[in-house]
Amino acid sequence: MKTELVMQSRRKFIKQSLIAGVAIGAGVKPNSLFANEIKTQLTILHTNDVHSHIEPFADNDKKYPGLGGAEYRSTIIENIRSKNEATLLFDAGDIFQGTPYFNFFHGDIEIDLMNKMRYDAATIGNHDFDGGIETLARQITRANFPFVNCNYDFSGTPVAGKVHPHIVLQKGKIKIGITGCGVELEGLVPDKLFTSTKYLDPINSVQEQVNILKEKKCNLIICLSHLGYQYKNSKVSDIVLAQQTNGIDLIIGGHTHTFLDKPTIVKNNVGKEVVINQVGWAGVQIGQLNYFFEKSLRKKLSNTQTVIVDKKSIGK
Amino acid sequence: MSKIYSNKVLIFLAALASFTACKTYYPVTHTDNLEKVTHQISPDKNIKAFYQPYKDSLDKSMKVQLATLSQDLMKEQPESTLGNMMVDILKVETEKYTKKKIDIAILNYGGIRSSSLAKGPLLIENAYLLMPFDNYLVALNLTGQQIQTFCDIIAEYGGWPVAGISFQIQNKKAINIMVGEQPLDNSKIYCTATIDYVANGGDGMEFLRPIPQIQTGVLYREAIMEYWKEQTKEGKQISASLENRVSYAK
Repeated sequence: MKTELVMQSRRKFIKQSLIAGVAIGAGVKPNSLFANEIKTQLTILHTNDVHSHIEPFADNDKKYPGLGGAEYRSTIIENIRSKNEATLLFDAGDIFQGTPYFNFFHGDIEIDLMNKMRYDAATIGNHDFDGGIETLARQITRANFPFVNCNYDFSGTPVAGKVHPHIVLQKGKIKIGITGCGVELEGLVPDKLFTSTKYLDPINSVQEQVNILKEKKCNLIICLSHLGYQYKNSKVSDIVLAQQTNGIDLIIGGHTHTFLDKPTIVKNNVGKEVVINQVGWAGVQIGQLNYFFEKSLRKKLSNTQTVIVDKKSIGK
Repeated sequence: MSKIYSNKVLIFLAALASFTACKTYYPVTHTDNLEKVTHQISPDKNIKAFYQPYKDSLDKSMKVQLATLSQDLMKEQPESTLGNMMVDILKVETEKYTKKKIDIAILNYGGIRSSSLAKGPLLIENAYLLMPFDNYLVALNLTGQQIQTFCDIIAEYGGWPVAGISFQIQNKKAINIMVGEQPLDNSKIYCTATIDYVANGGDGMEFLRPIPQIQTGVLYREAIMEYWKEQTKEGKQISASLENRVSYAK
C-alpha cells in the first residue's frame, strides 16, 4: 500500500514534468509555470454508512469476506496522517444501526471509536435517528467532533443547538468550509423517531451556507451529504445538488451505499466542476482525495491544469 | 520631481498590495485513492483492545446457534433466495400470532440488512444483522385494488420479497398478478402480512397509512429466531429457492 502511494506521486511528478516540458516547447514562459508550482497539499479521508460495523465481516461472508473493521480502518487513517499532517477525516452519516453493538450499547461504541480515530466532522443520516431523537442528541454531545447539517430544523427537539449549519477548519494555510445535508425523513424514518424535526430543501439550504463560506474566504468548500448518490426519479441527490448549486468543490456522499471506483465529476450551475465521492458502506473502504493548492489570482487558470495533470481524476 | 516620483512609488505599492491581496490558495488538482480495509493491514491494537470487552459480552449472547442453513442465500432483485426466506418467515409467523389466514406477505427490500447468508450455522447474531430494526409483525386487510397499487410500487422499485403472490414487471407496473393459483380479484379482500415500518407508510408506501393494522406485538427479529428454532426442533434445516415470484415480463 505504501509503495502504491509513492508510485502514484512519482507517476504524477513524471506527468507534470512532461507537461512542463511540452509547455516550454510550446513557448510558454517557464516563469509562469514556476509561479504555479504546487505549494500545499490537503488530504481528505472519508467514510459513509458504516452502520455500526465495528468488527470486520466474517471470513466466509459472500460479499465482503474479512473486509472492514475499526482496528484496520484506524491503521490506514494513522498511516496517511503520518505522511501528511494536513489530513481531514469525515463521515457522511448512518454511523448507527446494523449490528448488535447499536442494539445493546446505543451508539456509545461507534462514537467512542470515531473519537479515537479523530474524526473532524460528520453529518447525520436517516438511521442516526433509529435510537430515537434523545439518543441522537446524547451521542452528538459525546462526540469530540462537530455534526454538520443545514437542512434539518431541530427546533423544539433535544438536538436543537447541537448541530452546526457549517464549520470552518484551518489546515496550515488552507481554510476549509464544511456544510452538510440530509435526506427527507418523512416516509423513510418512523415519525416517533425524528419527532418534530423539519426537513428543509437541501438545494436552498446548502447554497445559503456555501455563500457564507465563500464570504469567509474558504479555499475549499465541502458538503457532507446523506442525500444519496443518484435516483431514477426527480428526487434530490448528490448529482442534483452538484448541478443546481455553485461554490461546492466536493460532495462527500452516503445513503445509497454506492461503491464508486472513481469520484464523479459534475458541472455546477455556473459550469465549474464539482467532485462527488461515496465509498459503499460498512467501512470496507476509505475514500482518499489529495487536493493540491497553489496561490494564484484566479481559479480558471488552474482548472485547465486539473484536466491535464491528472487524467485519472476525470469521471468515467 | 522627487514628489512625483514618491507618488509613483505609492501608486506602484498600492497596486502591488491589491495584486497580492487577490492572490489566494486555489485547489488546482486532486488525486484520488480507495483504501480497501483488509486483514493485510496490521490492526490498531488500541482500537481492538477498546472494543474487545464489548465484543466479548455481546458474543456470549450473540454467538448462539439456532439453526443450520443448508445453502448460501443472496439478497437480490427482483427476487432472491434470502428475500424468499425472510418473507416466508414473515407470512408463517404473522399467521401464527394473528391466528388469521394470511394470503400475502410483503417485505421491503431495504428492510433486509445483510446482503448474504453463508451456508452453515445460523446464529442469534445473524438475526440481528438481517433485521437490526425493532420492526413488528402486522397484518392488513387490503382490497385487490390496494394489492395492485402495492405491487405497482414494488415493480417501480425493481422488486421486493413477496410470498403467496406472484407477478411480472412491465414498464414499471405489475402485470399478471396471481394470488396463490388465482388471478388477483379487485373486489376481494386479502389478508396481508408486513412489518409496521411499511404499514406506517415507510419506503414510499404512504397509501397504507390510513389502513387499520392487526397488531401482533411481536418483533420481526424475534419471529425470525422463533422460526429457526422451530425448524431445528422439527429436525429441518433452513433453505430457500427461487420461484419466479417477481420477474421481468419477457
